[in-house]
Amino acid sequence: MSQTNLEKEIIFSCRQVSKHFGPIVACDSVDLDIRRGEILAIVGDNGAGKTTLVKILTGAMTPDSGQLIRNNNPIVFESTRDAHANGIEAVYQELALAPNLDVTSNIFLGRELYSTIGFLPYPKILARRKMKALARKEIDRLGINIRDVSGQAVGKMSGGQRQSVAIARSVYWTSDILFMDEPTAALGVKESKAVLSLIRKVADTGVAIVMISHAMPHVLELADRIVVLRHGKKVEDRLSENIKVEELVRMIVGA
Amino acid sequence: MRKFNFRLLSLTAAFCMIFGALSPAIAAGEVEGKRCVRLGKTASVDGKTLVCTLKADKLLWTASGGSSSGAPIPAGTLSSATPGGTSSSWVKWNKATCALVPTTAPNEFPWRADLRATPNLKIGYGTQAEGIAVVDLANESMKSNVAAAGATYVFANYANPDAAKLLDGVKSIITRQADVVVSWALLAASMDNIMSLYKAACIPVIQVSAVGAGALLFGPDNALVGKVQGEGLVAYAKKRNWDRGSTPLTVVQVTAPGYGASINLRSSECVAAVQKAIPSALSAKVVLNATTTAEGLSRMNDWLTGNPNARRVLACNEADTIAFGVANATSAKNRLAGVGGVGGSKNPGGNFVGSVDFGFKNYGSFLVPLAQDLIQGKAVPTTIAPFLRFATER
Amino acid sequence: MSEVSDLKVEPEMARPSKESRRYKIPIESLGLAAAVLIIVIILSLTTDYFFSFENARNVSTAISFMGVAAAIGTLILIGGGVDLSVAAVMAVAGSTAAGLLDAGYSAYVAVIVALFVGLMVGLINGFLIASVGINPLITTIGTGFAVRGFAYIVIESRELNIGNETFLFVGRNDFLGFPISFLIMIACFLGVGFVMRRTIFGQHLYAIGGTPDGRMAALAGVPVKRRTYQMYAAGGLVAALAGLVLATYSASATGNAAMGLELPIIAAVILGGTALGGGRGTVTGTLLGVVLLGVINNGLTLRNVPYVWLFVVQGCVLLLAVVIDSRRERKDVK
Repeated sequence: MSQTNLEKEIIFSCRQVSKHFGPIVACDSVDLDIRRGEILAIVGDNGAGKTTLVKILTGAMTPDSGQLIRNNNPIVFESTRDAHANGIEAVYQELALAPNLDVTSNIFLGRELYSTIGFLPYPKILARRKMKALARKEIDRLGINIRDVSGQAVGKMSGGQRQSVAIARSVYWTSDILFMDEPTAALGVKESKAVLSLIRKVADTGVAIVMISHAMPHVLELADRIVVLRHGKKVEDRLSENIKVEELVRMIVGA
Repeated sequence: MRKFNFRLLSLTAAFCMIFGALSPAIAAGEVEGKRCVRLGKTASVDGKTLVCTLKADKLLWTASGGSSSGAPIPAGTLSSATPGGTSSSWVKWNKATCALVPTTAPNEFPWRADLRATPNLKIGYGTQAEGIAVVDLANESMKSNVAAAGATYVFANYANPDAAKLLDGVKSIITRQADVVVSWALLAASMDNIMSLYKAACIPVIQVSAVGAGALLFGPDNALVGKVQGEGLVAYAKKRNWDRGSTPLTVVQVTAPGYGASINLRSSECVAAVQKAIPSALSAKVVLNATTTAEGLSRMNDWLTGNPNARRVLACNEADTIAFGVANATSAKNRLAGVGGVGGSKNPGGNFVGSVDFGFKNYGSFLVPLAQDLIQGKAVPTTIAPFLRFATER
Repeated sequence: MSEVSDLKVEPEMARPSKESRRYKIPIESLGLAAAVLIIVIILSLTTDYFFSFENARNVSTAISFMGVAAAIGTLILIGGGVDLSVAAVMAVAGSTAAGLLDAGYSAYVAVIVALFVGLMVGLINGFLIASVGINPLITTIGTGFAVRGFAYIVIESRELNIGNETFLFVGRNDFLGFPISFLIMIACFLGVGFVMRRTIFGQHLYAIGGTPDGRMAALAGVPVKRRTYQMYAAGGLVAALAGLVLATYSASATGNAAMGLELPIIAAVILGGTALGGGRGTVTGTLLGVVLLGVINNGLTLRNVPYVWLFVVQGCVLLLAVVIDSRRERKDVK
């Protein structure tokens, strides 16, 4: 599979993307290609610019310079809504869940199913029953252990459950690319295993997954390709086969 | 031989001396062993009958059968008071039509406020505010006079200038089924509305200060207020010989159009009275955009700056709040000045001479008997004015 | 940018399931309802004339204008915002309508223009808060001051009497046995309640209010800026409606109408269970809060209690509401 990886088509890429916050350079002329169905890991030390890059690629931030290209067409994202509309989903570190709403509401947040009255365009009435059924189905399909998909606020759930809801949401809407920022960082061993198998399950359906992670074993286990960032610059971009942990650490730290 | 108990003697002597010192005070309240603590109680001294009556909110023994206006005091009168003035047009409340109908004024005695016991009456009182010193005096007076009459007190605070709370108060009085209401509503824009509500509930209204269509009016005659203020200022100026000598006297009319034409008479008639008594006086006018102390201070200050030759100044005002600011301005600019006010507030000194006192603390002794007469269908004047006095005491 | 067209479903599928339709009445609202009931019972037993149709009418018309403002205040507070210009908008709406009526225009023109003025103020608030990015508290205090000035300017600082029969019809008449202004208030509560619980707009407001600045909602793809505009525009519009109800009630308009009303409105909203920070709240609670304050006000007046005690009582009720609110917050965080 790794052999044919480089032959797969590029579905999303960025060229010369830069972003700075005052005097701090977060991203420095980064080029990146994402291929159909691959699992790409972005690694680097703290402050290397990983989260910033992912936020730019998913519409949560706008770059200072550089270009995004989707299916060979240049594109600009004003917000995450634009990214969603172009089939790009993300699970951020802060999860982007509304803690006071239930699982169903969170899965459909921003993309609620609705009906209207007669010919009037407004009000748009929430299609609660249908959304609840779809949410239940998705949660069960992914094997997530949550009892109430409606009525129970997600803010009251455990960290692992919240993470699963965020993943379920993105997976539900994903068309061909899914970004994940530190998907296992807040989880224990058992829950990490569950999330990792979830990620593989999703990848097996042909979705490209781009994940940021500090967990070396997970990275080496899952990723087809690894990209290393250091001080905002991309310093390595290669297939993950035959890379050992020490070598990975060396690449990250730059020794 | 028993020892003479000097200690007991000295204690008794002390007690007698103290008692003697206090006795004038007690004497007023005690006659023939009876203390004047309940209205209407009688006592007989030297063949004369005394009645315990309410006078200026104090209970005192007074000789019955005496009155200041000449008309015989009817039996059962708890206290009497003579107003400052009454109108020549009189009316009567018609219960069937729920309206005031004109009636002839009596030839002989003008109307007098005779308070009597009316235990089955519900007297409503909507006050303009609580927390303003002079208004609180009037409120207390109303409360105690209603209590003296034994009537039920139906009270509401109109919270001027809140139009919504005014309406809430009116409705509350109507709901509690007041028989007659004394209403101190000041919002001209709401007057028609509340008068129609009271009329629909068939409750006769006595409006205080501000005119309401279809209601009696109790309040000072603003032209007379101006005249009394002017005469008070003239007395002050004459005592200091300001009407003589080479330095001219200027009388300034400080007026706030926001008060309305009627209240503006308080300053214009004051100026007229000064000019009548001192024809050589120059006159000037200061117009205010707001009815506050600060506004009075700054406008008067501006006028004084623009008239450096006005070294003897009399100022006619429409309310004490403004007069305080005007007086401060004259003091700050070191001019010889006499400033008059309206409202009976405490004299703060300086160039503030005195204020026209409406006798707020006696309002109840006029309004409650008026209310009683009104609801009982007696003939009453359409307008009644309280006593006006130019109060100069510090 | 717009909802994908295939997100629209057939009406049968849209009906809420039994489980989500079962409206879980929050425990706090039950407590408030009990408090209202207890106070009503106590007042009925101790105060003459309280328990009567006439007095019930008095209370219902007296709370109508405040209730309308509190209903939309609930919506804004849930959405994580705050609108302290509401009382000033009420005043300028009343002044505008009275000024137009005084100049001879018809009641319909007066109402429409007044509502339009409120809507404009709301859009200005939305612009300053969503586009320029100023804190809502400061913004609405500022617009409140400016608008209050206009409430005076529009009628040249006069006190205007309203005599137009068509306009006053609402304040004077009943429909189906209830005062029309009361029915307007109930309609507003029903409308806001429906919007908050059953529409996308309401759902988004809950999401935005759930985290400071609506950060999570924005990341998730909720159009926060658009919703903020819509929220404050609705606030201005409905505040103008409240001002019109006040004007028909008092049959007059002054520049200082509804002065200081912002605080009792917020007190009623918080009393009803809406969090100051947003993300939580119901209109049922707010309605109970409005009724509680109105009943206390009415009862104190009937008992000849000096006016100042009303301030003390209202202040205590507000403090109580804030304390309960903060304890609720802590319970949630735990």
